[in-house]
Amino acid sequence: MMYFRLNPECYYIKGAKNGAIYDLIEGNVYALTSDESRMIEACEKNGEADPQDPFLRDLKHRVVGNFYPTKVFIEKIRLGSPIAEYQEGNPPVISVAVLEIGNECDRSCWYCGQSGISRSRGCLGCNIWAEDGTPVGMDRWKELIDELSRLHCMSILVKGGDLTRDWEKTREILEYATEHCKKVILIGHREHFSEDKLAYLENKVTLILQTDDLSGIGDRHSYLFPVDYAKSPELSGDLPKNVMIDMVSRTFTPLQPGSPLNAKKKIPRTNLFTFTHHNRLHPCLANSVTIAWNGEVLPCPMMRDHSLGNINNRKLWTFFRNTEDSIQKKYWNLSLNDLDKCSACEFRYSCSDCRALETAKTGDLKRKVLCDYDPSEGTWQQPAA
Amino acid sequence: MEFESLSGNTYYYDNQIGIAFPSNPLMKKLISANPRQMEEIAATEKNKEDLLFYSRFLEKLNRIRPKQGGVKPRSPLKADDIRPLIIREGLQQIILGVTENCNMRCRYCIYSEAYSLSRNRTTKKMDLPTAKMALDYYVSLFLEGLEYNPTRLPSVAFYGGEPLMNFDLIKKCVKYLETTYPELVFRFSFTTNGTLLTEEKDDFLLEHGFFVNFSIDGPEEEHNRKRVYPGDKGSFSDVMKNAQRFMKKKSDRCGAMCVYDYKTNPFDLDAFFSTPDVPRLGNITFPNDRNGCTYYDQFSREDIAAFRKTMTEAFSYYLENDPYDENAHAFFYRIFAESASRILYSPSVLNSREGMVFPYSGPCIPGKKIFVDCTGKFHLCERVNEYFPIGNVRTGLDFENIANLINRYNEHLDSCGSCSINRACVKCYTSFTLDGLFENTSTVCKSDENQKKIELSRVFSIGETFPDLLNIKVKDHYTWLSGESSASGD
Ligand code: SF4
Ligand code: SF4
Ligand code: SF4
Repeated sequence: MMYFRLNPECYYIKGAKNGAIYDLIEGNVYALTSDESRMIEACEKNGEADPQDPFLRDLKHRVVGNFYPTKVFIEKIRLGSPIAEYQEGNPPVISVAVLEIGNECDRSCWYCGQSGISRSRGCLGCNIWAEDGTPVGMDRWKELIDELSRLHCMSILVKGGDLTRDWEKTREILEYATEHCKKVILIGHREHFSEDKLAYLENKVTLILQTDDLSGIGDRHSYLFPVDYAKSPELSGDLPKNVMIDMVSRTFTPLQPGSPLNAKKKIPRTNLFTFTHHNRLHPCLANSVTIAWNGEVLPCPMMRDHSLGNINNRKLWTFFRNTEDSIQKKYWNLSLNDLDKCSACEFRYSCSDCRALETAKTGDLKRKVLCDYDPSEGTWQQPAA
Repeated sequence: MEFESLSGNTYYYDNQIGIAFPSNPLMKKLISANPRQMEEIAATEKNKEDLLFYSRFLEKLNRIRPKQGGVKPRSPLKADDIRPLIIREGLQQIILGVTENCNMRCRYCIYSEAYSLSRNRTTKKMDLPTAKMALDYYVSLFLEGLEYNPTRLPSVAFYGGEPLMNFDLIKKCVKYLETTYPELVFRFSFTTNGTLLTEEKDDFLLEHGFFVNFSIDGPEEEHNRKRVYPGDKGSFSDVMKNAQRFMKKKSDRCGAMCVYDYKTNPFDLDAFFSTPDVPRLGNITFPNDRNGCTYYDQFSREDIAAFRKTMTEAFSYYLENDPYDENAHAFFYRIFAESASRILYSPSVLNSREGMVFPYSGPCIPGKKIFVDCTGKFHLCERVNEYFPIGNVRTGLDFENIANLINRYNEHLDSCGSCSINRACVKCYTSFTLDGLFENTSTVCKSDENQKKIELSRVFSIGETFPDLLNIKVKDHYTWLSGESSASGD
């Protein structure tokens, strides 16, 4: 008899019924059947293994695990050190701060946030909102950028309706942001920018342009292409690499099994960084903060009902304090381990999640509905033939 | 580097990646082979399946291997680099040395004659103006720092000598902070020999949320061998009386710190600290052997050999007798399981150290904590002798001096680049400080590889049978862990 153990770079993650093996170097996530899961689970507990077992031999062939003549301990590969990095009192890591510097636009796109619609990538669209409030003034925007730079914010994303309506204001904020932050991104509608404005922006910032029409886009910028969810199955053919699909729907119901939003396709490959990150933090909300046009501090540009407070009467750093209502405790630390269904799912450390879409549908911060997988049965709902 | 577990398995420690994995003769050959040797191995090795597996596994590891060839030293730091670093990452604690006096004469005390390079006990006390200046300075930096690091909480520790010999100052400091900065919640703590504690002092400390660390070295004979009053009378009964009274009031606000040496019987410590009316064991240390120490002169080679033998027996005994039971093995659980967990998870895996303040080893940036002596001088740590001041209460932290100190420290890391355990090294100033100079690592780090082998051997021996015992130090941080499949799907 022998023992079989997964390699240092391969983790077995258990779900309610089945398990999965994550290969953090190759990037593969192997979904196992329940028999395979039971076998691996026993092996990982140093139970005896049959060296002729075809499944285990296949794993060895894939360089995922190996047979050992004795019980061994496999130290797992990880990134960094939990003891050093998760010490209390370490500063928060802000990868991106979204500054929504405006809320005006003359267009009336059918997918715009103001019409109360849900968008799978609405956070990368321009959007305006039917909301009350007083716009944040120029001085406060600049102060905010100062505050962000003291917090070592790594990038600033500027957006908010038609940024050319008050072009002077946009320019002033962009100039200030680029002086204080290494990376500045700007989001707007392609139709808003004239050639000379584009020329100015190209030298300053990374551009993400929303567009209804993919003709003549070239490869210089990234594009966001809104698609009606009901018609999404009609979308065919390969899209250029710099185009991101933004699924738009009023309700996202009935959920079509097999649609890209809920099907197995949405589980991305794994790697050392995301595996370490997702086991503690939300795959999307973590490390980001949004300041809305009226000063409300939001966990994401699309979660309009989740304001943590307003920067007109508070400094930004106060939202990151070591308290129960901090953005970290309420949103960043909400890993898929904390969501009702995902906590029982073997894909929880590589899967993606849009809390904005989910809460818009259910009103519940911890529920998961946009998913065809049933972890308790280990089955995917199949699209109707 | 290779090491063996108790059961005889061989592991290879990969110092570039920072983890160890099971090894065997074929793997070993492949690890050190050049391309020509590889071809030879490929031609002669009979087990093609293993050959394929090991070579592809090693290839896989090579894909994530951090850049080789050692870490380029970063350009020397300047004062301007230091302030922002401290404002953002430092200021975790201020430690006030409220007195240099002590009512005891513990034999391993670094302020005793056994340590020629650190100050001796004096009758000096800190006065209130000095304490206030130190605290105001700390709080001013702390408040400024909130905009850079909002998660930090202010922490004040009192140290000595025996801090209770200046209890009046401690009380005044606490009241001063609470009335001057009502918006801040301070965390207070101190370390004491426990003999001077009274009912009244207990109540004050508990009222202000103190955490009290009692120095208790074990059962009576063991404790009294080292922790004595002038005239050599042991202090055991006095400390225990006070500690037990304090525990009755609030047992979770105190702990025990224990120092042991080559004459200690670890089984006795385990039994003693597992009794319910002894404060929970926290820090366990060996006496500091730097700073011109003569404490170790008392131990013969035989003492040392006998101690090592008993520790090995203790380790086997512990593993065979319900190692998960923390209450039944208060000492062994800490010294074996918790330290194994720390050894496994403390060093950073895979991150390149390029551009870091310290290319090797693991000291903190001076100013992470500030130790203030009675006269108001700032020192980099309460455990480092007084030859490395970093400022004072009147002029504040001396950033220029701190930059110099770091640069000088880094210059002495002369053998780290070729050290076979440099990724796992957590040594700090205390290992290298002389009277104002740092000793070279090539002089100090002699038997570190052997020591590391012993440590890793313990870690992997525990892991082979009780893998989740290794996770106790990181349970709250990771939901998946080394050697344990996550089970939240149950
Ligand atoms: S261009 Fe943007 S902001 Fe304007 S209507 Fe369209 S989606 Fe809304
Ligand atoms: S959404 Fe949740 S339940 Fe569905 S596959 Fe992803 S992790 Fe699993
Ligand atoms: S053990 Fe010594 S030589 Fe090795 S890295 Fe640590 S300080 Fe440097």
